[in-house]
Amino acid sequence: MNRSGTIHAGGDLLSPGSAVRLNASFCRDCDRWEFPARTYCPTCDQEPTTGPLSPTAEVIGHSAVLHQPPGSLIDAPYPVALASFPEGVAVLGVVEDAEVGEVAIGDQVETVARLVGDSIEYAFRSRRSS
Amino acid sequence: MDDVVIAGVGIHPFGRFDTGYREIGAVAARGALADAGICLGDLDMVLVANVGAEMAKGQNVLELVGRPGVPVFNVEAACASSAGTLTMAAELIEAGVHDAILCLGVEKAPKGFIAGAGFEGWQIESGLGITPLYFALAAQELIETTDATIEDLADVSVKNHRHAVDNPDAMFRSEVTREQVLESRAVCPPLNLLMLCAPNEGAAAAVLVSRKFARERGLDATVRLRSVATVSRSADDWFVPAVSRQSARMTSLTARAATLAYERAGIGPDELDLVECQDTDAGSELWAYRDLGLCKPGEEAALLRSGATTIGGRIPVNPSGGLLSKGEPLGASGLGQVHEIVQQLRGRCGSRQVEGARVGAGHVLGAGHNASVVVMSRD
Ligand SMILES: [Zn+2]
Repeated sequence: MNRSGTIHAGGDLLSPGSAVRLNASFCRDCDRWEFPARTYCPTCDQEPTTGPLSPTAEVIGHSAVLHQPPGSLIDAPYPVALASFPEGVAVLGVVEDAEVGEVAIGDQVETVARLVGDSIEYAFRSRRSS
Repeated sequence: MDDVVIAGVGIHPFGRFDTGYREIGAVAARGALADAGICLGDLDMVLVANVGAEMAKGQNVLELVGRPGVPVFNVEAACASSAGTLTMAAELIEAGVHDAILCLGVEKAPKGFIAGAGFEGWQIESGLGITPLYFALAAQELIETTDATIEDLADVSVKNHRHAVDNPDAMFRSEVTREQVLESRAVCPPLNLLMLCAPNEGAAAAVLVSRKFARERGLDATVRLRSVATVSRSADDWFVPAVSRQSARMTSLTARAATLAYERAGIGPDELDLVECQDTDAGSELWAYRDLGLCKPGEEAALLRSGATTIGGRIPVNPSGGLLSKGEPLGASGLGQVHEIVQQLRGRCGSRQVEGARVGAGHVLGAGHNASVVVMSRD
């Protein structure tokens, strides 16, 4: 179960490692996507529609968490990417299959399900050609 | 803004102490009242900025100072909390509603990264609830899109630590070298420990009065607050704790606050003699150069390398040592800047004095998307 509502159609059938799509909202008037999905468009206050973002995104920024942060259920160190989806929204996520220092701007990542505690959340998986 | 005088300032050093936040806050409050030459009974209102203490915190601090019987309100806007008190106090005085307001910022922050910065539970559990990550991405963007280097980031820290050597109210008063900064513990690349400020404890206060009140009471009216502008998130801003942003469109909270503050003051960035800015990390100071209009986009590193932002340069930035050296007591940091700017404009900063300073600006930027810029001048 994806309790945060960040995964599109995030019901009971999700399993860790499977490809998923992020759940976002789209305002037709503003031609604007927001993640996580919102009840109201932050620009025009109208009710947007909800839908999935594309399955892959391009890394436009990256860093890493080198020391265990309080409350994190992911073991540090781990790399983090800011990845831009074709819909025009950029999202932060842990790159679960890369080591610190391996993520680069221009990399493609896909969104996958990851078990975080007892909830299924999203993470990025790198799609490098190598 | 024409009518607001900063008649007095007070400070409790920033650092780590055995005393509680009430005692720490009371020191700054008493200091500001004494500096202004008025007593608690002269006030129309007290505004207290704090992020992490308890219910009725301002009232609890004041219990150690006195019982003025006037409204006491607590103000919270993350690292911009102090600016909230200034904004409300200045506008109430300018509007003629009140004549004398005490603004107090106080904090006793736990050690380590700031928890509770507004992240949702799933962000924290997913490993994304950590503020330096956001600063790291901003610093990286500067390195990717301008000629700024990691050595420049280190040099911001070197500069601010050098400034703090002469500031008795700073927590870290030893110089550091570029090598020491670069070799300090990596936190979130490209940021190392010595490129990040440490949350700590301290307090600062300012007494804001109308010109009429200052004249009638014979108070020091040397320093005037010329404008203050505080903004919150608009559609295309991105800061802690938002997990996403628009890919192409990015606006700056700081730039918007600065534009408003300069407009309201009728004073442009070219006229500033010193700036105290939110150097939460070394990259944030470089971004502030751009967003506060101290340089053109892309010229941030050049401005730093030229020495312009060092004491003795054209536009010293963080002559107090900044948050990198003082540490950051969240609720008090903005009023700490006001304390420094007022003392600089009065010419009372001794060996860290910015010679001939007549106009100064303070800048804070905080979680939850809050930014504020304040402009002060001496008559
Ligand atoms: Zn809209």
